[in-house]
Amino acid sequence: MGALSLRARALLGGVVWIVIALGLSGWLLLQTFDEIAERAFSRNLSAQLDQLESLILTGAISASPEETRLADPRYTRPGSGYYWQVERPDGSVVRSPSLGEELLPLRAIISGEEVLQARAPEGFLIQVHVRPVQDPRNGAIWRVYAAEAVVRLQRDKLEFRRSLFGLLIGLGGALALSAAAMTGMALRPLVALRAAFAEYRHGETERVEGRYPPDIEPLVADLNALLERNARIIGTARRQAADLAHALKTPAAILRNEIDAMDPPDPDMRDALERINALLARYTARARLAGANAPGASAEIRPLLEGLGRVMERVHAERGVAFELVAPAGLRGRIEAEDLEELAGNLIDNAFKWARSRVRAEARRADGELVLTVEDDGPGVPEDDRERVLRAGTRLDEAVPGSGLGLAICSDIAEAYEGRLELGRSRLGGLSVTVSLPLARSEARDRAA
Amino acid sequence: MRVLLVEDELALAGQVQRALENEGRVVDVAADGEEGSFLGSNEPYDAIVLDLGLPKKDGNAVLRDWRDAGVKAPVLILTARDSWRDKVAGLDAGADDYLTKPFQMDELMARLRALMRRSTNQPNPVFKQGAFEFDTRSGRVTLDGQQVMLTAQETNVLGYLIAHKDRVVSRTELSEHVYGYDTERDSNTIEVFIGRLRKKLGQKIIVTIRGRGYQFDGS
Repeated sequence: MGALSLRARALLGGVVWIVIALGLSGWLLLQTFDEIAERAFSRNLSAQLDQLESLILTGAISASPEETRLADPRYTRPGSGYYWQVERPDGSVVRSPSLGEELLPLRAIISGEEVLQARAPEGFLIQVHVRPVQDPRNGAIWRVYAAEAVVRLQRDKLEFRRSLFGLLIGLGGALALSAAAMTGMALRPLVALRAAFAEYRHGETERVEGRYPPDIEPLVADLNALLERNARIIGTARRQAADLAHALKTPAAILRNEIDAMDPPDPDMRDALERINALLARYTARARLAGANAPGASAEIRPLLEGLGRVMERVHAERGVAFELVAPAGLRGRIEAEDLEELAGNLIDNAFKWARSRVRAEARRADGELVLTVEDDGPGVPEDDRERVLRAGTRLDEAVPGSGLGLAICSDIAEAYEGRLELGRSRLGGLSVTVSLPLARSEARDRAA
Repeated sequence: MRVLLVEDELALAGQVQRALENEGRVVDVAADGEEGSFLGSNEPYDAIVLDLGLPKKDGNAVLRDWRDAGVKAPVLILTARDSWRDKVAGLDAGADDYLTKPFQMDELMARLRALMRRSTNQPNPVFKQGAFEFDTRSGRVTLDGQQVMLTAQETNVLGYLIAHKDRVVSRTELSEHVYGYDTERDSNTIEVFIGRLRKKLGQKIIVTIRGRGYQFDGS
């Protein structure tokens, strides 16, 4: 049962109970009906005996034995399966036309009404009722017989069985359907919960939203508590990474200055320190990327790009590079704001470093994705080197001083958000970097609408 | 040219201070946010180097105080905080440049020179007028192609007058930019420096405007 779905469990349970309940009531109904049918069968025969008895008591049979008839016409037709016979005190017999020349088996001594099985003249099984009747005139004993084919009783029973069976199957089907419908209704909050969790995973909400029945509300509360705890842990990890970086970078700066001040600077010490610095930069960047594991985030790109533009124009003021920014308001990516800022910041900073006079950043919505293109009019990167530039420093131990263009970090960030980063040649003449990221869920919906 | 350095790591502060003094700058060091805030608001600096993670008061808050108080000096943030978010916040708080640790001293010096040139509208790092040349990067002075040796303080006085050559600079102002906060100030020594500069570079190089101060005039 372990892997069975709740729906299957509920349905299976429902069906088992329906089958048991219907089977039991079917069996009881059959028993009851059989008894009723048998009783009616016997009562009918007894009623025929009553008729014969009254014919004897009124003396009708003695007067004209050949004219004796019962009300039911079936007793006249030969082979109908309905028979009667009257045994007079002298042993002679009057019988129904249906018997022809045959006799029902005679019973000599009987105390009251008796029932017995016999064969009809045609050979089928019949039930015979026999009753002694005392003639009021001379006290002599008559015996009256009435018989009917058992097959008729069986046919009645069979017919009932058939219609009962059909009814029970219909009822069972209807019950199973309603059980399925009820299961669906009962499970609807779980479907809603899944949808709410998907919203959270896609960065639309910061917790699992919605109202749930008391059965699963505590579970949802626990889930939200867990998500909040996760977010807190990630936040703490980020802060600790920043603290660690701060704590290590200042001593690293001091060491570097001391080495640079040596005459001549020791190349081995300088290399070692550069390696430490590269590791430090890379480790901090990675620790910061913890955000990718904390869904529930989306960021509008335009204000971020505008902020970065203000930074670049000052930090690279000496280079006199013109910055052009094209981004629609309200365009949001499914990415932590800080990670998007880091990604775009590194790309634009890199473009500023290499540009001759122009840097262009454009964000747009394309094919259900957020596409950011950063290009410059610098020397660009030859096609053969592009792969290497992205790979540089992907492994910590390969980190080389000044390696890459910060592009490896950008590539890491894009990858963490299931995005892509591609290098190409810009229309401006230099490098063009295109990053595709998933759109925030609300964006995707707006587009579909 | 006088520079304020706000940095709580004393070893690093010492290194930056030495590097700046080698270029002939006068340097005041503040070891925490409150002291930095006070000095920056009350002393006339030509440039400020500001760390962000400071004891007593965060660098960004210090920077906002200065800008609110009308401090115009260019500010370079020198910090270990290297995220773009921090950079945007720092520049939006009023900084003019941002350099992350670990850094190369040469780059810090170059950026500070560039900041000071920009703040005084000197697009070219080498100032030329006739046969006279002054390299703001090295403080090197040449006259008719011959290098003229100047002391650090002489370079400082000359650099400040060149940076503000379109106006008269008072003796007090000059002394404020040539002496550090903790130094005994004596405006008479300014006269001594002016005298030595005139002797090395020619009488006409600096004009005295009676009762007001001095002005550079290389013609």
